[in-house]
Amino acid sequence: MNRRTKSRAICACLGLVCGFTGFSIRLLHLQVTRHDYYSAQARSKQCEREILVARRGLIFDRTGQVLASNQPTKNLVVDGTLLTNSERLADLLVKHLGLDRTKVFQRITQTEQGKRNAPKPYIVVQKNVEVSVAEAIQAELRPAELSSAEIKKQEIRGVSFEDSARRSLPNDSFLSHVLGYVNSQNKGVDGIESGMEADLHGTDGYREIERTRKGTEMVRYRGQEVAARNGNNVSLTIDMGLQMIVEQELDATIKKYHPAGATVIMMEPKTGRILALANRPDYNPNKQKGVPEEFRLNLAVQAQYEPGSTFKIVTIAGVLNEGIVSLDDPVQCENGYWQWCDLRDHHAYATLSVNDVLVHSSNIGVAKLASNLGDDRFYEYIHRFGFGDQTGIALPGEIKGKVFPPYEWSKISITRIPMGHEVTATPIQIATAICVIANGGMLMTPQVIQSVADENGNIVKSYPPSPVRRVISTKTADHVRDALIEVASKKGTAKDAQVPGFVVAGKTGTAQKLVGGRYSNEKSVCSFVGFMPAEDPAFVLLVLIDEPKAPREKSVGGLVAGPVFSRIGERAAAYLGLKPTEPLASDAIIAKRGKTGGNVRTP
Amino acid sequence: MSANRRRHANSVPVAKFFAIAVAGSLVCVLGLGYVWCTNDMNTTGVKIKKVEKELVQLRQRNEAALAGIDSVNSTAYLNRQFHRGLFGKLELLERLKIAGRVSVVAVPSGTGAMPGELRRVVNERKPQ
Repeated sequence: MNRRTKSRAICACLGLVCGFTGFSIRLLHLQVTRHDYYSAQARSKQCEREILVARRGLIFDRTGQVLASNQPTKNLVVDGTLLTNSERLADLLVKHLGLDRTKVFQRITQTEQGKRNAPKPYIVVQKNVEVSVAEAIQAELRPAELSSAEIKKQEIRGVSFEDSARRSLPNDSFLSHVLGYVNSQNKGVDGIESGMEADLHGTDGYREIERTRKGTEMVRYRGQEVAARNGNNVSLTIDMGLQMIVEQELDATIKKYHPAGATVIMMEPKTGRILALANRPDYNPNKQKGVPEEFRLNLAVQAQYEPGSTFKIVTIAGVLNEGIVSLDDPVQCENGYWQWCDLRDHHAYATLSVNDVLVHSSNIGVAKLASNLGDDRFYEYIHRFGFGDQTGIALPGEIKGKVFPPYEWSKISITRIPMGHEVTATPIQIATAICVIANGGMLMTPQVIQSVADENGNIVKSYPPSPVRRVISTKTADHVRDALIEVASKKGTAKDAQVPGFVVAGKTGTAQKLVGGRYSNEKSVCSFVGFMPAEDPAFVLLVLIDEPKAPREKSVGGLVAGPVFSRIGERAAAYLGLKPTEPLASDAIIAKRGKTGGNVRTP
Repeated sequence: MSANRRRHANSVPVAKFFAIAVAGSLVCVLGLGYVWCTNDMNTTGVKIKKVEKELVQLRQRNEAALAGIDSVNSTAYLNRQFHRGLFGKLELLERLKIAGRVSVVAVPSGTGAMPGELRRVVNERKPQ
């Protein structure tokens, strides 16, 4: 080999060595130094975390009837970049979903903002499509009966269905304010759906998966998987049989009186469990569109009223419990007009016993008894009965009502507050207060939730009865009960609240409403709160009608709310299988036949 | 060169070739086996995916059916059906209607209910 050839050979070798060294360094740099970066990039393109959606928990009534469940649905999604046969797709959607063709076509052919010829890769065409409808659409996307060439021509690509679910309340507007509803993200907004969101929602799971270039999952490369934990099921204390009775009677009352609002609450006095709760106006949680905001208000816990004469129970219970008077002691009632504080009674009474002050609902009588009790002790009893504080019921948005402390009272407040003015209370507070009389003196926390169980039925949380405090002695409660029995008798203000076969104890209330700073003669809140059977109450029932359209003389608690109590009480007693404690009086049957014109079921 | 030396010169190393052939065949078989196993895993993965999809569809149909059952079991639905007179054999309840008020929703005939007897119906739904 001569020198020139030798040097050329050496140069060539050096060139090769340098080249391969360069490649090797580059390879080392990519594979070792930048390993983490490129493997993360590869993972981001092919690997992803698939979310396993948890099912929302169900809501039951106390008998196991489903009040809220989940209806599986599909969201129809179109990938504009892959879409073929858009005209045919539009026809298909019009046929199965009843959509407007022009709007659908515009939707499925929409482009990215600012880019004329760039179809959108992700278009949600319709949410919450029924599963059967989605399957029918899916079957027609690729018509199988044609030849393969025709199939290719007619096949619609770029359409997929995402799993979704819609909350379903099978009882429509029944119990709407208690159950609440969920928003489009399946999150509770009101009622139990909101209050028990943490239990109902569940926890989504996930699965690490890897896809091929075409998007198909490679199952053998499946990574970590955490199963979804479905939401817990909530059982309420509500009984749908009683709820239906309450809803029907409330509807009949609305039809008759066209009030601004109405509330009925039925609860067990010994446990505080709510058996039925209904408000008007109400709404259907399955159809949210166009519902006025005020219809969603749960009047039972979010509206406050001056309770009127039902509040007299507080004064009577207070003076009896303190031993200041007994039921038979006389009270001067100033012949119907007490001059110094300009206070009138509906009828002129010279003297009444403490018992009769409650039976005849004497404003002057109760004002004098409250004066005997004194401002501070009276205020204490108001609070002990639960007024001015939240009851603790598991429904969102509960308000406290208004009870002003004695230092803010005027000279005549001690005569006004005992008759239920200058103080406001929610319906649930009034019902809970009467439970104190019905159960022998204990203030109970009203409960709407019975228990929480997981999807296998194992109880996770239970809610036993929760006594708050002893308000009055059992003996005092018995005395007040005896007086309340007479209220519902022939000589009392609530004759129409009687229930054949049972002894009813209760109190009427008629509170004029404040309009423009003055008490109105036209607008009032009529109520009746009572319990039956009086000796061993199965339930407490509050009926409150706000601004009933009735003649002024008939717009009183005994005539408006009392009959509603009677009808609900009779039907509820039959539903619960209560054995009548009293023989049916013949005049009661005649009275019922006169009202209804139909047959009477003998117990 | 002697005949013996000529015979043994340029001899073919059969044993060596045989060993190489066996080793090569083994590598081929292993390679093919690997490809077959990988393909089988992929096919099984596709089947698993298909079965999972069917399971999800069945669960969804089951849930949809349960939601339908809940709907027809609901108090509001039964009450509407009753007032439309659509319970057929339940004329019994019509006679017991007390001025439009009925406490009990449904008593199917032939279950031993006596004429004039009202019975409470309790809906039961076992946890899923």
